Amino acid sequence: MAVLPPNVSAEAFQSAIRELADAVGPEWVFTSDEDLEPYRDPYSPMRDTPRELLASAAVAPASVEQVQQIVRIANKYKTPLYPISTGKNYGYGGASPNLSGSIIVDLKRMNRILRVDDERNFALVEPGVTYFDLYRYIQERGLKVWIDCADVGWGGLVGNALDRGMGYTMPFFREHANAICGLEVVLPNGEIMRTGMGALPGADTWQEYRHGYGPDPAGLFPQGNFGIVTKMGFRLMPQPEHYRTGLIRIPKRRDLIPAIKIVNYLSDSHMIGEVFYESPLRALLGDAGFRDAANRRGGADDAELDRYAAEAKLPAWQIELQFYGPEKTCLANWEYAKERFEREIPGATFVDGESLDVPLTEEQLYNPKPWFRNGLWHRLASQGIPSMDAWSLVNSRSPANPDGEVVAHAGFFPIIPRSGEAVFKAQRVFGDAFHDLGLPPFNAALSTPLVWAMFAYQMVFPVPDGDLERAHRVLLHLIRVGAENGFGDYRAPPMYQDLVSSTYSFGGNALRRFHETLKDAIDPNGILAPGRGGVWPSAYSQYRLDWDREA
Amino acid sequence: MIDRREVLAAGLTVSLLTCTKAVGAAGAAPRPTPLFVADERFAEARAAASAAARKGAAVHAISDDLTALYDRLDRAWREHPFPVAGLTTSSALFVIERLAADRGSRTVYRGIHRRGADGRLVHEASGAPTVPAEVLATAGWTEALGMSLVDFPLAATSLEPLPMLAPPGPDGSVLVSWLLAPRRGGTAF
Repeated sequence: MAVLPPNVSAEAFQSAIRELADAVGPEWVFTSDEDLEPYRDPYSPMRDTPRELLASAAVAPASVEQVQQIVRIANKYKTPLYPISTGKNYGYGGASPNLSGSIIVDLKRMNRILRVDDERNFALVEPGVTYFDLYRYIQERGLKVWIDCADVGWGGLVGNALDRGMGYTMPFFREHANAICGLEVVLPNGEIMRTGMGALPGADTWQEYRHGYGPDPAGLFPQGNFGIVTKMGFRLMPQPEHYRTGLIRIPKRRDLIPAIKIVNYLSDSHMIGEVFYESPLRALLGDAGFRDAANRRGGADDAELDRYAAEAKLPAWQIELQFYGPEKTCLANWEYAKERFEREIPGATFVDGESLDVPLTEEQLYNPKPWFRNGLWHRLASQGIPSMDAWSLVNSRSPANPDGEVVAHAGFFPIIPRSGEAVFKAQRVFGDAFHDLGLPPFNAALSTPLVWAMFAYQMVFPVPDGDLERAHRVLLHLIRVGAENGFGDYRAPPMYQDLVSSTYSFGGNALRRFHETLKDAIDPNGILAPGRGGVWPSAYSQYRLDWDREA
Repeated sequence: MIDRREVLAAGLTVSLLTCTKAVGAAGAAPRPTPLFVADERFAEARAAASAAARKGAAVHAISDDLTALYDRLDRAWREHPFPVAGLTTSSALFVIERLAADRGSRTVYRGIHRRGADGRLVHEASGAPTVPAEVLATAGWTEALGMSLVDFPLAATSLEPLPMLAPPGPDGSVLVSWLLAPRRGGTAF
């Protein structure tokens, strides 16, 4: 399985490995198959095929100075590098590189928490810090700030933010790249750069004003390949005093349009946290007639679904809201939300949910029937607590069927506008896409927007054993169909990053050409993560994946 | 290269494994008793854990949520690596193996126990030593497995590297038995 970097001889590669070992210590350079196994993508549709994206080696530095040495060695031998924080980005490629033969720069030993301030509400961390690490640090010191967790807590904050991961508390913090405030970066030439106020010697505002002065390049590093981030600042949410939930039910299918307008107002006014949309009509899926109506090619007939809802005495939709803050303002915001819905959507009904002081007790957290009903991990994440519970979603596990049915850890998360009309369009577009592929229906008319910082549609595809090829074809099709309808993917494994990048094609791919012009200027040897985010340096541009040509 | 993979079908006539106690580190320090991880949703895992406990192993029960186990191992392995054995699902083992790789440990034994299409229990073992086939063919295989995992040598220097499991997936496995041990010279951080 051993691979070499492109255009690098075995002798040159061995020389590079020796110099890397001198730089970081031989015990921190990995070349055996066994040692490199954790750097493979366990969910790659190309796993165990010649097209699997594999590393040639991995190196784990302990300091910024060692990162600089690694970059200089890579330039000397023209060996591409692929930096990771903890390598747990499963579903998006894990630790595997865009270009086979790259040397993984595994930053997990750089795991210092440099600063947490619960009066100014920020943290400064190294890339190896996991959600668990920062949570423990905060808890052990009794600090009054929350972290916004990714689904699975073993991941790194820096890596997740650099892949534009999402979370589950208030909007500003849920979009992890948005919460970044201040970066330290080792550039491809080995220099260290700090962004924003970090560029001003003596400033104590690095984590408070992200821009500094002049053009702010911080946005180039998420999903980019312009440097290795060695420190990252985050804005943190102050620990709220209180937590409240409330449920709103609306009777008709088209009521979703005014409902989303109201939710937009509540969210953009910082009155609510993550919102959970659901259709109670799922209870009717046992009825073949209803199931056909919910999966009809060309989209559902609203009046027909409303008749089913009325006969079953079920609302078309329900919306769970979460409120954070002082108890009085949580209640006031809930009362305001009810007033708006009552005024604008005839027949809306309301159920008071939980009203709990923060932090929640163990009994409240692990209540087997929590009000916010989307899994334990969701419950914990809504309270800023990392967990491993979401991992149980990867396999459908039960004593009767412990490993039989599996959810292929592959998702498609197009960005859609925040409107009911767009939700209905997405239901139709992707429902039809499933018809096109002859796939089992996913009850398109009942699918709901997942409300993170950006509005995103999430679809996770169950893939039977041995049918990764089908998963591959499905993803290619959905990316293309989504883009044809203005729904771009927001994040993808390396295998699909070129395709996604190619769909952002305005002006003859002007954005990508801009990125690649910058790339060649900043990284003339193209050694840093060539291909990440669809950005290829000239030195490796022939490795761009072109699925359209292969189709 | 010695192929140490053995596929044993209970009820079939198969040759016995030949090296159930093959590896021992001469002059090695006293062997620590592994922590035993059991998925409490499965009777087989509960039985194996009881047997391991009778041999002196501490038991950590898991089910869906691996948070408590992950937190325990993440903290403890940073202090000093120690052996951990278990009978769990493959997806739980995936998490534990990935953490172990970061903390200076490796898998030295892995067994997959699944129901075949004909309903018979099939055991597939990697690494050495393992449980004799005639024992695995009995109703008491879980107890024997639990006790054996506590006793397996940890040095494992003569073992071939184990093929890694496929990602948590539809491999039809019922349960996975395993033993992780600190790597010689392995470094945690």
